[in-house]
Amino acid sequence: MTGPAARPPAPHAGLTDTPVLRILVQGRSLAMQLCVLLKTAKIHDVGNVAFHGPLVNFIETVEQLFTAEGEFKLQAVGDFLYINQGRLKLDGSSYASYQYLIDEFRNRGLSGFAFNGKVTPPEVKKFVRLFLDVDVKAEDPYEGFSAALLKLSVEHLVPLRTVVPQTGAINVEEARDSRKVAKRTFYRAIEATKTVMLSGRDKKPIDLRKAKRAVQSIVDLILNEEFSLIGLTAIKNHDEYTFQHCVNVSILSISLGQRLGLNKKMLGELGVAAILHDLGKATIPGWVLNKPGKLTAEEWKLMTDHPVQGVKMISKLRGLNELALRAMIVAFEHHLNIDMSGYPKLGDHLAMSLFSRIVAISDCFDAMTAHRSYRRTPFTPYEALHHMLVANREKFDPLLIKAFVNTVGMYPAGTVVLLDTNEIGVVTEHNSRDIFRPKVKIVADRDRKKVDGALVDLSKREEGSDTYAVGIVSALIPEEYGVNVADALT
Amino acid sequence: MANPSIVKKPSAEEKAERIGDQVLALDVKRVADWIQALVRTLKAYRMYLPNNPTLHKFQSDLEARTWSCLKEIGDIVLNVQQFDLLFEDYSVYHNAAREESLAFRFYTDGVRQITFREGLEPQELRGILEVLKKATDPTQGQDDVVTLLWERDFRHVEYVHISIDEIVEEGSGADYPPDPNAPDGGGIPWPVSSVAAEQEAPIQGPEETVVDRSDDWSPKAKVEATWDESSVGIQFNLTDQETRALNEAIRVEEERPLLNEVLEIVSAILKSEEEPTSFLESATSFQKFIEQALEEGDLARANELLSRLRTIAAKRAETHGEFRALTEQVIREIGRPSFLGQFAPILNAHPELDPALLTNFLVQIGPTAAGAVCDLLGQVNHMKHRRALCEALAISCKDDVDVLISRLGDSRWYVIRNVVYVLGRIAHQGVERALDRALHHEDVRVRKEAVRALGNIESPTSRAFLVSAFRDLDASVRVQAALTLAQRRDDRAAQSLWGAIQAPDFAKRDQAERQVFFEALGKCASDAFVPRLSELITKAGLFRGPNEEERFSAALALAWLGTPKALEVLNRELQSKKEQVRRSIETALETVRNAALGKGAKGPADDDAPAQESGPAEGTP
Repeated sequence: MTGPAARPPAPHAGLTDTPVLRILVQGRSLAMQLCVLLKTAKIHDVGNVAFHGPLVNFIETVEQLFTAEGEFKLQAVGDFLYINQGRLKLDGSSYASYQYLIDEFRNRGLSGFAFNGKVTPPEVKKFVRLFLDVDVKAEDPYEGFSAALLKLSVEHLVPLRTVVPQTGAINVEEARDSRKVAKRTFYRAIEATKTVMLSGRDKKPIDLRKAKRAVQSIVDLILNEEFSLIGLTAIKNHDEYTFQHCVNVSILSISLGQRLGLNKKMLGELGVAAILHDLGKATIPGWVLNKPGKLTAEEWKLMTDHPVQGVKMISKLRGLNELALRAMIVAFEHHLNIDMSGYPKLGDHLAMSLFSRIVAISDCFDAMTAHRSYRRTPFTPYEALHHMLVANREKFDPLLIKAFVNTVGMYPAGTVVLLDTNEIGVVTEHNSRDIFRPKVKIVADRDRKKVDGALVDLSKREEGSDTYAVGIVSALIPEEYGVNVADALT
Repeated sequence: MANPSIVKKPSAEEKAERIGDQVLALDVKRVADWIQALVRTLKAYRMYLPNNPTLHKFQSDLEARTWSCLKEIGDIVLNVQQFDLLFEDYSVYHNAAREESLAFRFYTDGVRQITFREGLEPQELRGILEVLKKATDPTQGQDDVVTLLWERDFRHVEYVHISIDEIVEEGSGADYPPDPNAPDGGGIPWPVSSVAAEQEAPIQGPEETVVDRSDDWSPKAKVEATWDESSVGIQFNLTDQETRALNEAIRVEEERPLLNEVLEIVSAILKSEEEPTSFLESATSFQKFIEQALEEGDLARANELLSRLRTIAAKRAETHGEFRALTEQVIREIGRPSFLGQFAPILNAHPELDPALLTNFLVQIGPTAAGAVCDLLGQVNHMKHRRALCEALAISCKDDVDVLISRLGDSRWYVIRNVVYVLGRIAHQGVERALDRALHHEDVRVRKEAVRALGNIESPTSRAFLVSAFRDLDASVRVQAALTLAQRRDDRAAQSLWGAIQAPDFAKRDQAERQVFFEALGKCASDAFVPRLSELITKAGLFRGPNEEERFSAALALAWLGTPKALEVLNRELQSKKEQVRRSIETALETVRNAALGKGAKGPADDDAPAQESGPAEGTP
C-alpha cells in the first residue's frame, strides 16, 4: 500500500441545531424519570406519597416533549435508547438507568412507547401498574399488556412491539450479552473514575475500591478476550472526556500489558495506575484545560504541574501499598519521554518505569484521537499511530510502541477506512495475525449511501486464490464523511 | 386391628432418605467445625508473630480439617448471608457482631457465594487467611475481600459477588450529579465543547508569553492517509531479541524498589516547592511515608525519613524561613495521640525493635508527642521499649514537664511510676510538689519511685519531702527515703536521719530497717556524729532488749563513715574487754568490707526500678 489516496466526497453530516439538542436533553430526562417511576412503583404503591414527585416530573416532561414534537417515541434499539430518531447519549451517570429500561422493555417484548398526547396522573398510574404486572414469562407479554392498556383506557401511551431478529437469534443474544457486559464494565469504570477524580478535586478522601473493581473486571474481559474493549475506547464522549480518557488509557495500557505478558496482578495495578495518571488535573481550573489557544507561562506552569499534583493526591490514599506507589510513579512520569525530556524536571530522575512507558503511549494515543478544545478535529486512530511511530518516535519506548501497534493494529478500532471496493467501513476489531487487515463494519456503500452493512474480515482471501478479497485504500476522517463511529462499534 | 407395637419397616426409599439426612448432618457439622477452625486461626494470625508455635498449631489443625473436609464432602459451597454462612441451606457459621463477623465481612464487601474446590493447596489456604486478615484490617484502605481475592487469583477458590453499586444503595457517584450548567472554573469535567470553550476563554494579552499545550500531540507534519511500512523501515513483528528485552523489562519492573523511587520523587518535589502552601502539602506527603514506616515497625527508615525531611527543610529555610516552622508543624503532627497510639501493638509484636532507634525517633518528634508517649507507657509490654520511651520523655520534656505532671493523675499505677521516674531523670526544680502527690499514692511502688525521683532534685523542698517519707506506712519506702537522703552526704541529712533514729517509734521498727537507717547515717554523717555513735557502742539502753544490736548498728554507722576519727573509735573498741563489743565491731567492719567488694545481697532500692518487666505489663489492660 503506497501513497495517499484522494478522499471521496463527503455525505451529509448530521444535524446539530439547538431544537434537536433540546429534544435529546428532554428525552434523557424522560428516560431517567420513567426509570425512577418504575423503580419507585416496585417499592411503593402508586397511591403512595413517594410516587407523587416522580409522577409529576414524568407528566411534565411528556407535556414538554409533546408540545415541542407532537407525537413522539421512546424506543430501545440495540443497546441504545432513542427519542424519535435521536439517540440518547450514554454516559456514566445514565448508563444504569438506560440499561434498566432496555431490559424491562425487552422482557415485555416491547421496543418502547409512542406518546400520542399529554398524559394524566390516573393514566400514568394505570400504565405503571399494568407494566409491572406483565407476566414476563408469557409467550407474548406484549399482547397481554397492550390489551390491558386498551381495556383501562390508557390511550396516550402506546406500546411498541420488539422486532425479533429472524436469523441467528441465539448468536445475536450471546453477542449482545457479551457486549452488554463489556459496556457495563466500561461505564462503571467511567463512573468509578469520576468518583475518584471529583473526590480528589474536592479534597475528599479517595476510595479506590470501586475503581479497583472496575479495573479488575476490565482485566478479566481482556484476558478472556470476550469482547473488544478497545473498540469502546474509540467512542469519545465529550462531556465526560476526562473520565473516559482515564478509562481509555487504562484499557489500552492493560491490553498492551497483556500483550507483553504481565501477570494478572500487575495488569490490575497497571490499570489502576493508568486510571489515576491524570488525577493531578483535577486541580487545574476548567478554563485552562479548555483553553483553545496557546497557554500563557502561568497556565503552562499549572498544566505541567499536574504530575506533581497527582503524586500529592495519591499520597493521601489510605495505605501506601505497592499499587499506590506504582500509581505515584506513573502519575509523576507519564509526561516524561523515553529520552527523559518532557516534564516535570525534578531531581535526578534517570529512567522511566515500564508502567509509565506503557501509560505514556496509551495516553498519547487516546489524547490524539479525542476532540480537544485546541483542536477541532481529532486525529483518526490511524493518524495518531502514524504520528507516534514516525514524527515522535524518539519520545516513546521503541519496543513498546511496536507491541502497542501489535495490540491495537495498524488500523485501530474506530478508524474509518475507504476500502478498495469503494465502500466505507469502520474498523471494529484488529486482527492479531495481520495488523494491516482488521475486521471492518461497512457503513456506506459504494455510492456513499449509509448502510447497516456486513462485518468484513479483511484477512479473508478470495476463494481458491491468494488474493485478499477486500483491502484498505486509506484512512478517512469520520467527520468529513458523516460517519458515526459509535454506531458501528456498539 | 393392627398391633400398635409393630412398627412398620421403612421402605428402601425412606431408608435412603434417612441415611442421606444423616450424611448431610455429618457434613454440616464437619463444615461448621472447619469454619470454626478457620476463624480461630484467623484470630491467631492477628495475635501472634508468624514464627509463633501457637500459630503453627492453629495452622496445622486448620489444614488437617480442610483436607479432611474436602476429601469427605468434595467442593464446599458456602452461601453468604448478612451474619451467616450457609452450607446446603444450613447455617454453619453465625456471628452478628459486625466488627468480627466473617459472614458480615463477606456480605458487606458483596460476596454472595464462595466455593472451596477439592485440590485446595496449602499456600492457597494461607493465602485465604492473608486475604481475610487484610480485609479486616482497619488500617488498610483501598481493598476489600473481592479485590483481594481477585489479586490472589486462587485456582481452587471461586466466588460470586455483586458490584459495589449494588452494595451501596447510593453510590458515591450520586454525590456528583451531572450539572450541565455548572461553572467551568471548578477543574473538571473538561472540555464541554471546543466551540464553547473558545468563547469563554480569557482573552490573552499581547505581551503574554505563549507556549505550546502540554497535552497537544499534534504532529507538525501532515500524516499520510496510508501506511507504507517499508518507507520508514519499521518492522512490526517483535524479534526474539526484542521479546527477550521486554521480558527482562517486566522482570525489572517486578523487582523495582518502588518505595525508594517514590521517596526520591517526593523528596525532589519537596525540594522544588516555592510556595508555603505547596511546601506544607509536600511535607505532609512526606509525613505519610514516615508514618507508614512506623506502622511497619521500620524504625530505621522512620528515623532516616525524619532526618531527611529536616535536612531538606533546613536547606529550603535558607531562602524561605517560614518553611522551617511548617516542617516542625508536620513533624509535630506525627506525634498526635490518634496516630502514635496505634504504635503500641506494633512495639508489642516486635520485641526485636532497637530501643535506641525508638528513643531517637521520639526525641526527633519532640515534646508535643509527650502525651502520646505517656499513653504508650501504659500499653507497651517490653521493658526495653518502656525504657526507651522514658528516655525519650526525659529528653523531650526537659524544658516543659507540665505534660508529665498532668499524667500523675493517671489511674494506672505503672504509668504514674514511669512518669515519676522520668520526672526524676529530668530533676526539674519545681516538680517537688507534684512528686509529693506521688509520695502519697496508694501504691507503694509509686511512692518508692517518688522517693528516688526526689533524691535527684537538689532543693530544700525535696529534702523536706524525703524526710516526710520516713513516716511512710511501708518500711521499704522509709528505707528508700533513708538511703536516698544519705546520698546528700551532708550533716543536714545526717541530722534528719539521727532525728528519725531518736524518734520514739524507731525502736518499734524491724531490725533490718533500723540497720539501714544507721547505714544511711554513716554514709552521710561527718565526724560531728562520732561521739554520739561511740557512746552507743559503749553504752546501752537506747533499744529495748539486748544491747548487741544497738552496738552493731552504731559500729556499722561508724564503719560506713570511715573517717580517721571514726576508725580510731572502732580500733579502740576492737581492744575492748567485752567480747560482745569486739564481735559487734568485727561484724560491722566485715559487712562494710563485703559491701565495698560488691558481695552480699542486692540493695533493696534496686529491686523494682521502673520500666521493668514487672511494671506496666502487669496492669496493661
